[in-house]
Amino acid sequence: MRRVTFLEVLGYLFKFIVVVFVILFTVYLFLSYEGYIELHQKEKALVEIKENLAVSSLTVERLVFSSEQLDAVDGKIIQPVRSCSYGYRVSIECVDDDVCEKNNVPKTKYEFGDGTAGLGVIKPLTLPTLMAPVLIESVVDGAPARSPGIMKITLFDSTLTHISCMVEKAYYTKTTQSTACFMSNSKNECMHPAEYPPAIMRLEGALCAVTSNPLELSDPSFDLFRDGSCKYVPDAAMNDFLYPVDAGFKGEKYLKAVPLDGNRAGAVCNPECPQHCDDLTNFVAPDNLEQAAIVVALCTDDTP
Amino acid sequence: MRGQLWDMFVILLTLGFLIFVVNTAFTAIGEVIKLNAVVNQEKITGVINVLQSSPPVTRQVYTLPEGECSLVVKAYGPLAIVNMTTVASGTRQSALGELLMTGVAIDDANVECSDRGETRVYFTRCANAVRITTSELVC
Repeated sequence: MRRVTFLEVLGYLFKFIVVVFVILFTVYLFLSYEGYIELHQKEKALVEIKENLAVSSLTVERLVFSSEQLDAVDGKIIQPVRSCSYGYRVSIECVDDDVCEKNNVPKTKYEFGDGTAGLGVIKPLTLPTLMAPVLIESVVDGAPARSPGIMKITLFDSTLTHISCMVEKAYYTKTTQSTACFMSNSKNECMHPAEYPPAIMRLEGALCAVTSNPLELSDPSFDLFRDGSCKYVPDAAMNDFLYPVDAGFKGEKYLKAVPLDGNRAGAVCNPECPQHCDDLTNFVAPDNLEQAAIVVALCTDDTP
Repeated sequence: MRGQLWDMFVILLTLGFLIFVVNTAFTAIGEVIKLNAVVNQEKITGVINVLQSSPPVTRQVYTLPEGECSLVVKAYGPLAIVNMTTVASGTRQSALGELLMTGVAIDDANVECSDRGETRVYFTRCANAVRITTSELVC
């Protein structure tokens, strides 16, 4: 029988410790693993919007835009492909101005979509963009001619787009929609800094965030598409909403879109609806109420 | 010689253990993703949105996971909503998404998942509508 030396014992001990360490470390990694799923929702939405714009009423065939149709929507707050969750703006520009001129394309750049400039009130959180080559079809001597162009879509995910989607969902589903307050301070209360008390109102088929300056809208140089912060919402009827400022709204943490019975809501919404949802409960639209009679009101509440 | 055999045994044992752990981890991750309501809702919303811009007779088959889950697609006027509910490890998870409004009609659908296997859902573009069925559909 061979005697085991002290060094051999140390060697075995070392190997044993290494193996135990590897096993324990693996178990630790296994137990502490946290998965994170990144969905790239905005990028996905951009691609889906682009795919649907490519065959929309503005095109004569896939990705071939009619200059006549583009003329009709140029400079307008409009979504040819409507998205509830996101706002977007599209610009379609000639790649070669000379070719466009030769082909009688009336403009070298067309722009339409949601109004997003003048964002002193509600800033977009992110602005992902997508560019795609397109053709612009025009008529030269009675025959169609095509000019190369580039389409750029910019997606807006902002407080306004969230609110407008809540309003649309409340209008069509006839159910109250609720969200934790967006424009809030660190205590997550339904407040907005007093220097920017905005109103959310319907203007020209869109839902717009309007600043505290009432002269803004009456100014003849003010252009809603260029200067406003608006999301295209053509159908849903909504009462104007003045976003609560600091005083008197502490503790209210939820913003709600409530579908009201338009036939009776006039009694309480005169001219604006009360800002607390409790004051609207008696006027909520029943499920069987016809769509045309629904009016949505925004209000704040302390429960979801 | 005995020492080398022992070393080999320890290395093989450790490798076996590592393979077991990694395999189990990846299987668990796969199961979690399969039964994640948001992932399923986003995928289904994507399928329907892309079908809205596809030529007629385009079809996409989506496989709902085995287990407790349900898919509801409901149109309210021009606004259609996808609601996916799953139950994973006893926790109920629900995800709601809105479809693009393009003028293409979207079928209402209410599909329950099965405990006995995966459920296939057929999304078919027919004329000016997207049909949602649990068996193959000829437009």
